[in-house]
Amino acid sequence: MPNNSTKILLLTTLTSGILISISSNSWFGAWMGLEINLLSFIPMMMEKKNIYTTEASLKYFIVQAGASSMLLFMVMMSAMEESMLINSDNLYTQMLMNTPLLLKGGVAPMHWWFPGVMEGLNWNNCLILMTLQKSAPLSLISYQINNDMFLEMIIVTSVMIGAIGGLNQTSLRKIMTYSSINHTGWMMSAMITGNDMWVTYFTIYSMLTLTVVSIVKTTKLSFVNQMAMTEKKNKLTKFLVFTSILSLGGLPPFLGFMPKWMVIQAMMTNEMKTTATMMVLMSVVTLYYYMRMTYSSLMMLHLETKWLIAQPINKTPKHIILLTSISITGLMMSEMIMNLD
Amino acid sequence: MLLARESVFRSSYFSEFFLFMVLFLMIILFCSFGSVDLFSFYLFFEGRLVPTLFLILGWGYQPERLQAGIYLILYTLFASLPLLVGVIGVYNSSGLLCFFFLSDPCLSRVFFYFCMVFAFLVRIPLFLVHLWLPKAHVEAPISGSMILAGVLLKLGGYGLIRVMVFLVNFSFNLNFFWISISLLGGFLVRLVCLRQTDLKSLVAYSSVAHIGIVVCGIMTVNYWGFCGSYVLMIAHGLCSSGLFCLVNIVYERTGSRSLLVNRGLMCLIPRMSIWWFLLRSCNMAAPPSLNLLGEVVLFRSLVSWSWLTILMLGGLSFFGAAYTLYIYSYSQHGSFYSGIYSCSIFYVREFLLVFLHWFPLNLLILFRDVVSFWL
Repeated sequence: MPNNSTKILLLTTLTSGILISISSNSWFGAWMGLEINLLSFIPMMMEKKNIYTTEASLKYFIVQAGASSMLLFMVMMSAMEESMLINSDNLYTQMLMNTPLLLKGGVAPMHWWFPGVMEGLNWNNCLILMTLQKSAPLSLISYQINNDMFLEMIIVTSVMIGAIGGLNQTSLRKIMTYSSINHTGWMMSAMITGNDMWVTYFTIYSMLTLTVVSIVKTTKLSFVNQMAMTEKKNKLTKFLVFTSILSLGGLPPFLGFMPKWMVIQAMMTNEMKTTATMMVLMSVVTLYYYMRMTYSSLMMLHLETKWLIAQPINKTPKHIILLTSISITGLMMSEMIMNLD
Repeated sequence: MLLARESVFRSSYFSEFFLFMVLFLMIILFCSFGSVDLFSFYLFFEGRLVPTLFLILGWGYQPERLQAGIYLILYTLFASLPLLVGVIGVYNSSGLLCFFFLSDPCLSRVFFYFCMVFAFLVRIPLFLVHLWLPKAHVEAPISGSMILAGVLLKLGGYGLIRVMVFLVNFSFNLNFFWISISLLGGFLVRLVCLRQTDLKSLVAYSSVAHIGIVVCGIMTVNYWGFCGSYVLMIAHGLCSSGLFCLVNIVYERTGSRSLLVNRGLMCLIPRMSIWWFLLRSCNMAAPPSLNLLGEVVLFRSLVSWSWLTILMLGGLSFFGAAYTLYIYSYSQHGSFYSGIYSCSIFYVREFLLVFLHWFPLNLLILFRDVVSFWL
């Protein structure tokens, strides 16, 4: 049964797996890092007292192990084609090798395992699944990406499925899943112009997701209708919920707008106008389900149920307040920082 | 608008936060009207959505405000995120975004024209995409309605004026589409106003009607059209905002926005009926008001664009006067609703509020050369 020290060990091996796969010279090293990552995440997901985690970890294992073996097979095939084990320039082999990596990262149209797995995890593991577990596959994709029809199809599908799939969900974990799929579509389009923009998008997205998950974690919520259960006089929690979720949606005075702006600018420079417009229209759809989460915090005078999940103000952890204040003022701060030179 | 919200302080209903939101919105609006750069204009244009949403959803009166907030956000964002794409397209093709230097046409595709124009047309509501406006105005608290009607709609008009300058080569061919929609729409909306019973929704629809002519004026890309639409935007802001104040004054007393309940008000609050009359006469562009100046200039620009607009403009102004007079006489004259037990007299605060709305409306026409010919 995992306790805290086991979890720390597993987190260490997880991050070391990510680092190994990102920084390796050959595809074998990358595959090895991905396997270490997978094998250390599976025990982290398990919990003795919850039967849903078993199902989730089994699903995760099957999908990821299948993807890893497919990746190994593709690496072998491209090695036989090109007679080398490092990145090739052949478009077909790149597409072949990107596909299992997309499956590992939960990018549409290979995202079908993602909501089911997220539903069974506790919020800490959900956060790791949404942020850290994506970094390794997406890095490997970014090393061999080129701007062809395959990528555009992946981007458009991701953004559309992330937007439309989240519309009918009531479970908060599934909503975060679909928002993650949507943002991964944006990240894939950020990869076109090189490494910096994708890493910036990923960092900001991770920070915003960390904010939202931290707020939800303290009150142990799982469903959208439970978000209405903070007390009326708990203005701080309501404000935090509202700003962090709308920042994730990309509304302008918040930090979440900045990566979207950068990506749109990059896409326009690369003459991808229709894709940019489609992505932008789908992000309006995502705002609908983000706003559904924030209804109770926006409407300030509402009837309270008797059985409240009370979260007193003095118990709101400080890191949430720090993160939310960064997400509110981040746009202006980043502009000032960028204009310093 | 702070005056109108004295009841907020009385019930201590998150009053500091309300003040903060109103101030924040005011700062954002200042920045958006004062921005020299197209992108910072876009940023503040979008940034005013969040405080407006907060004001509507937080301090509105009915549960329908949820739907109103969703309509507001989704309608305006659906149109204005492609505006972001268009702005960046302008930057890519001409290398700069400063308003002063963007005078020659620099875009090469109709797609960009639609992106840039559509955002402002949804914001300053064009007839077919105006559905968010009655909902948002009706559900908003009084100061939210006033800010919405007074200033936020004018952001759309201001953006259109700024953007038309470099979209000229498309607009010569395509603007007839928007002009015909607005003219016909203005006519239809005035007919709708004639059968409204909800006072606030009536003022909202009359907003749409006025703004229809403003849009036509901007779309003709005449000098007279720009000047007239600028004047009518200022006049409409003051007039609609004042009308919302009056409706709210009545609402605070009778608890209902329905026209069937709020009638015979001249018997109850005679001091208020003069303000009703003055603001209503400005609404239908009666002589010493700024609305008259705006409408005359706009009529001239539209008729010079095509004489066929005379047909619609005649119908427009006739039905405008018709619904205004009907509403004035229905709400003021006659006997009052027998279900009213008590009705407080006019406070000085309300008097001041309405006076400050009416005073520039009828005074600025004396300075019309300063007001209208600034371009």
